[in-house]
Amino acid sequence: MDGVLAGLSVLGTSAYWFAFFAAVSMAAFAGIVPGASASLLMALAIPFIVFNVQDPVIGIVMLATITSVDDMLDVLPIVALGHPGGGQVTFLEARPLVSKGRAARVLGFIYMVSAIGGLIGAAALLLVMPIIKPFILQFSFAEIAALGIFGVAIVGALSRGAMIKGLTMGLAGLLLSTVGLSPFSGEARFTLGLLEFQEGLPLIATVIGLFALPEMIDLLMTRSATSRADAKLSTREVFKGARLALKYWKLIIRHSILGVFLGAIPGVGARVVSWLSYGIGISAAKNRRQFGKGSYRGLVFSESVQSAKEGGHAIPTLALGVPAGQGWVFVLVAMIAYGISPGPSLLSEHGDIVTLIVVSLILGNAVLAVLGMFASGQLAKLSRVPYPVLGAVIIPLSILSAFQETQHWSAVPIILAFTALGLAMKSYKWPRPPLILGLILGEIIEKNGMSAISLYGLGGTLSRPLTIGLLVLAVVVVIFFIRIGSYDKSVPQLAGAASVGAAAVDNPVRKNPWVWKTDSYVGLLFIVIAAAFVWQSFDYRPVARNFPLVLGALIIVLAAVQVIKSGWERGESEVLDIGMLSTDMEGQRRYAAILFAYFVGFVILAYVIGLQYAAILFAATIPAVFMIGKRPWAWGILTGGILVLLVFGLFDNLINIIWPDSLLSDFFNKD
Amino acid sequence: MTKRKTLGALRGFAVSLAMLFVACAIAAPVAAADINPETYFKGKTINLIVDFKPGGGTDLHARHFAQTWGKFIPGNPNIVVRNIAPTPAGRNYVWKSKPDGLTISFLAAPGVGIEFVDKSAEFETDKFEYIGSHTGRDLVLMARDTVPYKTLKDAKGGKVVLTMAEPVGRPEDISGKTLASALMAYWMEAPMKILPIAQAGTADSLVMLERGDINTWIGGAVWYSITRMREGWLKKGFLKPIADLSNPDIKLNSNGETEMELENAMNWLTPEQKDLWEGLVLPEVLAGKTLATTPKTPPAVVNILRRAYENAFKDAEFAAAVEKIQREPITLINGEEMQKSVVRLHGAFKRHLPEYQKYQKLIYEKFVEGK
Repeated sequence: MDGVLAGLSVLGTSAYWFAFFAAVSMAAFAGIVPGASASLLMALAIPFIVFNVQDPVIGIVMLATITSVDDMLDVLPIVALGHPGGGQVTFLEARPLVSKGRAARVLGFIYMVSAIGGLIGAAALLLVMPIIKPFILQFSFAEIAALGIFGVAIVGALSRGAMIKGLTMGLAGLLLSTVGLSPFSGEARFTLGLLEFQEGLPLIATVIGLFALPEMIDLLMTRSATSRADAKLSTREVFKGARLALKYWKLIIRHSILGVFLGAIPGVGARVVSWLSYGIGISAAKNRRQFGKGSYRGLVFSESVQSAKEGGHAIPTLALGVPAGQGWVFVLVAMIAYGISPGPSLLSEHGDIVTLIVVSLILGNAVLAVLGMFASGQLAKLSRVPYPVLGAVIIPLSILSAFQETQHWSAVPIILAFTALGLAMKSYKWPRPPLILGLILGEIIEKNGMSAISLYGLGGTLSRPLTIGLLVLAVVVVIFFIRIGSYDKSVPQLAGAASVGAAAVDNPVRKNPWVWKTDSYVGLLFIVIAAAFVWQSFDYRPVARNFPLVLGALIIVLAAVQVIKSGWERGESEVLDIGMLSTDMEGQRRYAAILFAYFVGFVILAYVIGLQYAAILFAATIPAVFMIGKRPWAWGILTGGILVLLVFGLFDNLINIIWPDSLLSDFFNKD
Repeated sequence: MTKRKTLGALRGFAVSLAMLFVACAIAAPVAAADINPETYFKGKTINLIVDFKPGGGTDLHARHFAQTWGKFIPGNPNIVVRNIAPTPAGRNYVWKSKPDGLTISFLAAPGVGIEFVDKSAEFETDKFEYIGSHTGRDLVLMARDTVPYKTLKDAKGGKVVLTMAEPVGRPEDISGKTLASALMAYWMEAPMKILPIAQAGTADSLVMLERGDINTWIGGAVWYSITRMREGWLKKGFLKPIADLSNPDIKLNSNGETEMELENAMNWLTPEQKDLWEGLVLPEVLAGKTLATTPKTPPAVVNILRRAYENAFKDAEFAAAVEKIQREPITLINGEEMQKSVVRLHGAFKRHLPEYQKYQKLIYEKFVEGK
């Protein structure tokens, strides 16, 4: 009790409020500016905080506040800039709503959901922390691997009429995750002999390429704004959205509790929780056809867990000294630097820290929600800006962010290769979400699964009750979705392929002759990729070989079945992904060719004059080529100028990035 | 132009080029000798290269250096941290950089001889110019309270198997701290089992100890911080040190909960084993946080950096801040001593490389495969 009172008394000091608002501002900056992540800002800020903030309570709480609320404003780039960032699930549901003119309402809705999620996360931290230890210790390698398998199964199965496609993509994601050093034998697998690939495919570059850039390119090709011209984008609409969220209060509470649970499991990872919540939410929903087309329920599944998971992350970090999220690693580093031990005794010995973290979590979410609501009426108007202007800044900025992750040239070909793959999958309706989730979960499943077998033996691993439960649940989910497939097909047909969201439902007519379908090219591509992985895997020791070998073989079988099956089908299968908007636009082929030439030119220019200068040129010239309307060059000066500021301000001076060598830099640096 | 004139012009060009080279050759040492310690770094930027992504302990440490070390270098240069991961990509970068003292590796440990075992290392560790090191590389084998032995020596013929979990999927992975503990156990005839797991951090290992998955753990550079990560574990006897495998030249002090009462395990060895230990293990435990710059950096420049490094640690405020961040006492090794030690241990490692591989295989078969 003394600790709680001591913590509350800090609220009366100006130092706390200064630190609190500094933390909230940093989190807001990280949320709004693509390329500036909270983790990066925290890494840069830690030394300053540890050495300049003398009071450990303030220093630790400041870092905890940054990481706890940084997801809150992530939604702004999604809604206003058409940039999915790390919130692919939210993007999946928000994007169709924005195109219907609901940008302001979506923002208000999400702020309210997040604020409630944050509140529940904070309450859980206080209530659960003293009793959580036995539960966390129960979650060994075996349970984490089983949870990963459950995640891939549930998201793969969500592609209703195209479950084979979904499962194939989930497995393909797992397969791609095996690129890099084998976690067991240390052998470099599928790295093409490059050191840069030893840590695996760079996740940010891969996800930006697979998901973000295809969306941005699609929007760019439409040459219009993300919102309709008659969209209501006022503060009043934002508050309407917030009120709408309150109608879903039961669902918000349910999924926030799920967020706390998932967040509290070390090793699951922040990127996974939204997908798991989304998958579980859809499984339990009555009308499953609403998802992927702009569902507020879908937004609740995604956003409530995002905020609530932070309270969950804090629990093992503070109670056990086991950080459950990237940002909480920094909090732990700071605690140790300040000489404060995490553990069960933290609550009794430093109750002030725990109390203040809880209070700051609640206040941080509330402050950002209120700020967001008041500012969003105006910020949502960005969605009315023609996309050639927004894309001119966001596209090169995304490439620079991907480069910043690897600090190596390899980021550029990786991002472009995955962009091509993402566009092909989007066009031919092969779902990308399971691929992304598989990519994220692959390492978790392999590392933890193999470690569990080594520690407990195969029999021991499979006899752990929690592990059995999760694996059985994964099987049940797949069977459940197979069974409801027939029910779903009875639902009336949906809008055409050009609409945002899903396409038409399955309509297999077995009497028709078998024909080759264009979407089968993607299936064929994955057969070739899987075959190459299988072939290469024979060079590795069994411990490194088995996982990719089994995955590759399964992909070949499933993709082949899908190719054959699709030849018999008429109509298009429904997948959980966003369709192409620009397919039927006038001059689509011409602009596609121009954009392709642009990217080729970008790569050449990056090699000759430097990546950063190529990015600036890209930003400055895109509006002139793609904009419909007056003064495109004036817009070009603005977009180029913004990129100059970001390149030299953010990347050069704040992050101290080392740009890759170019022919020009080589020439000037010659002795 | 006639052929003769062309040849004449070419000859003239060649002579000019040769003269330019001679001029450069003469000027270079002069330039090196002319380095003014007071002005050389003025207005320049030093890049501290960290082999890890931002946010870890070494990165935090380097960022503190970047903020505070500059004022001890004449000319007060700007210092920035740049992260080039994965290891050893950062050191590859420093190896290829211009030898002007403006690119410096900030290393978690010098990793002497890493190039013999890591194919991705494009450098030779003994050729870098070492500026100094300021932390020890403590290596302490610890066991749970369920293990009845007071020291690793006592375990000879014992029934309770010392069970560790380490990322050892193949013999080549038996290196560093795993090799040190397993080699000592092998020589002490202690019963040991190493369960191969995927890469696991300190936090994972501590949870495994708590859950009872393992009963033994080799912590690298955690002797002083374990009391913060798990307060009371050592004091209450939940965990105890059973072998000090650290550099014998660096005495481990009290970590706040317990004294290091064990003698350094190197004292347990025969002269032949000691010779091998020097080649196989000491390169790993020579030192912790170390600064090194590009080979062939002019000695005058290296000297400026070495003196600035020493002077920084003479400053009570600077030293206290570093101690705060690393949570362990400063163990200063100056650049000249460091250079000598690295060269000596590099030679020892190279000389014992065949035995290194032999013991890797032997330990893998005995402790991992249980043959």
